[in-house]
Amino acid sequence: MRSRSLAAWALFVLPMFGCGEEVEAEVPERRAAEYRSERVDVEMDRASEVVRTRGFTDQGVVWRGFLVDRGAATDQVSLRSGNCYVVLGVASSAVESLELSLFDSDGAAVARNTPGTPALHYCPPGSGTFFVAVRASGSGLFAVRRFEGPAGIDVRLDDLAPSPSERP
Amino acid sequence: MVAGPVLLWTGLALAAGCGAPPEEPVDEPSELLGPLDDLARRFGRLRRRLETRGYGQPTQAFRTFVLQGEGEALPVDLATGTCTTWVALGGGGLRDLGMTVFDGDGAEVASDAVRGEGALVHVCPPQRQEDTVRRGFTETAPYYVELDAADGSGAVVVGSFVSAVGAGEGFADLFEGLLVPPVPFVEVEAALTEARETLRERGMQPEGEPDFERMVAGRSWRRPIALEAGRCYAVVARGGAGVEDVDLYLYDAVGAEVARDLGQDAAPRLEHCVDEDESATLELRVFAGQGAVGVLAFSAPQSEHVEPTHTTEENEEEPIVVLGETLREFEARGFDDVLYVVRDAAINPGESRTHRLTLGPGCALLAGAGGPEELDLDLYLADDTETVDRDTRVHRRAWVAACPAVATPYRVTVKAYGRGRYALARVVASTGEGALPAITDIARVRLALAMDADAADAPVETYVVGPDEPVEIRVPRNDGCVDVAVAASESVLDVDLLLREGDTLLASDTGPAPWARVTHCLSGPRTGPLRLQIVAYRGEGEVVLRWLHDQRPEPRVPNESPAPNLAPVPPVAPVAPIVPAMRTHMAATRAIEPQEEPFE
Repeated sequence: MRSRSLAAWALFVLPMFGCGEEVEAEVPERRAAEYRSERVDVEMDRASEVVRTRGFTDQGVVWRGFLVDRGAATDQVSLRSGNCYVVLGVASSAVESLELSLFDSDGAAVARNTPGTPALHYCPPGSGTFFVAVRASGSGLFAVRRFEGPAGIDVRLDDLAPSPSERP
Repeated sequence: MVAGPVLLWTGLALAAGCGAPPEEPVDEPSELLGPLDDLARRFGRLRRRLETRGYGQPTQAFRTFVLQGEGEALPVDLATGTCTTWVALGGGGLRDLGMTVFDGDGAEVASDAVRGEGALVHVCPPQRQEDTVRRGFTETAPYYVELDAADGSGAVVVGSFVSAVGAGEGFADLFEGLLVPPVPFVEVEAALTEARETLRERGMQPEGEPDFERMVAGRSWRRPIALEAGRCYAVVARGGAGVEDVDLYLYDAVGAEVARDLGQDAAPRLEHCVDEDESATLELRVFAGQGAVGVLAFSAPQSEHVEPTHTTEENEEEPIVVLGETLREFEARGFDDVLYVVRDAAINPGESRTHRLTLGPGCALLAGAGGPEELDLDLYLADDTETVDRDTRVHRRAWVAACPAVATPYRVTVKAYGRGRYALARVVASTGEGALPAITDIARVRLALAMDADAADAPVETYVVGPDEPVEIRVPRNDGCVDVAVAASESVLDVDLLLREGDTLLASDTGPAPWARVTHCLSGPRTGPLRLQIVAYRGEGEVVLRWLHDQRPEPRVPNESPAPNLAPVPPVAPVAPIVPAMRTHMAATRAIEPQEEPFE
């Protein structure tokens, strides 16, 4: 999205806020630009707990955003050799599928989630910069969390997907 | 979309814009709204309608751009307990704009139902009970507004209006007159289907699906087209109702035009064969009218590429066949050594195509033939400095000639009035070594072509004519038929022949050519002396005349008494000259207009 459009939208959003003289007012719990959804967070927490039980720990903050149908977004990350990583992605109900991909610093695809599995697993041969990409079929909110774990073990990922009734 | 940049921009907005919402309506185009163009004016009308219907003034408006198949999602925090109406209008090539609102959990809560390039959603975030007891706090809820360019790309002006719950008169016919009327593509699709069948008969297969656009005069539309080595491509376009003139262009990878169809119709077609892979660009322009247009590309291997056939005129003679007949007639008049310059080439209405070749020493003639039969083919012959000969008669056949003393480079330009194909060939005039007399100057070339082959050896008379100096010749033996031809030198651009009996005009050839021929058989007893007038309509100079039947004029003695009765000459059937004649100047006015000259 172009910065001009973002600025326009940001200014557009401004009048909706309650900033002004009431400096003691409470800050609203959620802002749209934070892309935080309780339902998505619940599902992210549930799946994260499963990943943690397999020897992996959280890496940094959760990456959030809103994807339009067939839209994509990328996030730059640093990965170290000697470790393996799990990238877990969760999306809101209107997103039919969320594709996760990992690219190296040259842009070569190094890992991708299998359909129906909300996560990918990758053990980098060398430390460096990588790019996580998400692409949606359908529009909605997404959240991506990265985990770091030991090398040399197989990690089951196919049971991370929520049942249809549990979808955010 | 990623969260970081948006958070930044939102933060900046918060830092800079705390305070009351703007109270002034969006009357003038702001920096965010963009220029005061048609899109801004349409939005202004939409804004006034919403105000009139009780939805208040716009809290903000801005302009953005969306690409076909892509969208933008914008985070918005809407005040609870009120309603917000989002409207959007698209411009440019945007034909279908969608707008959807998602709540803070990503669930769809409202969707646009406006057809075309307009969009509207109306949402009223509910106010939670516990919020109402909070003081000094304006409750908001996160939402996401998505703009989606379902068809076409273009600028979009978006605005929002905040109103009380239940306020407003509704949105029926809100966009009336603000959106481009829907254009049916059915008619265009049917026309393309018909073209598809024709090209399939030639072994050509469609390259994908047709593209459709809604266009107005002056608009152009480009799309890339990948051309594969060893294949021939045909691109056809069709315009629907209201579209009068559509042109097609094909550009190669560096932007050079390699094919075009500039015909004054809504059914252009161009063809192009490539020996190497090319990334070309196809451009379609609407020159007159507006409405739906469609375009479809076809291809076939060059080895299987079949030239088009005239499916509606199966008996139509190909230009090369017509030219062959002409050349055989020329040969009987002393022209041979045929060299084909073009055997078969497509030409479009109003298009000029130039070929270079060397003529001389001696007289040479360039003959062209076009098809279909109604195509009017004109020829212009020019040396380095000027046009030396032209044939602008309204006919499918044309010829030009030159008699340089030494070998001289020339340009021959072919111009067509109508769509079709043409063939062009050069022949050289007799040098007198055979049975026919030598053809040594332009006048004799023209005369040779204006008469019958069996009169090629008849004696030639020479006269000098000027604009105000017509030559009048008395025709003595006039009980049978008169058949006479005249041809002019280079300095006479148009010569006419008129046959009179007293003051009565019996026959004439006033065509816009430097030659003329009159054939007339008397149907009754003669009532007065027969006179032949040679008139230089344009230019002045020498003309040559040849009687094509056994008739000779008496000496040019003005006011001479009628000749004595002579034995009647058996009437002969009218003969068809090689080149058509007997057209009026008025009929040929278009052809001799100065602006039609391709070299000027």
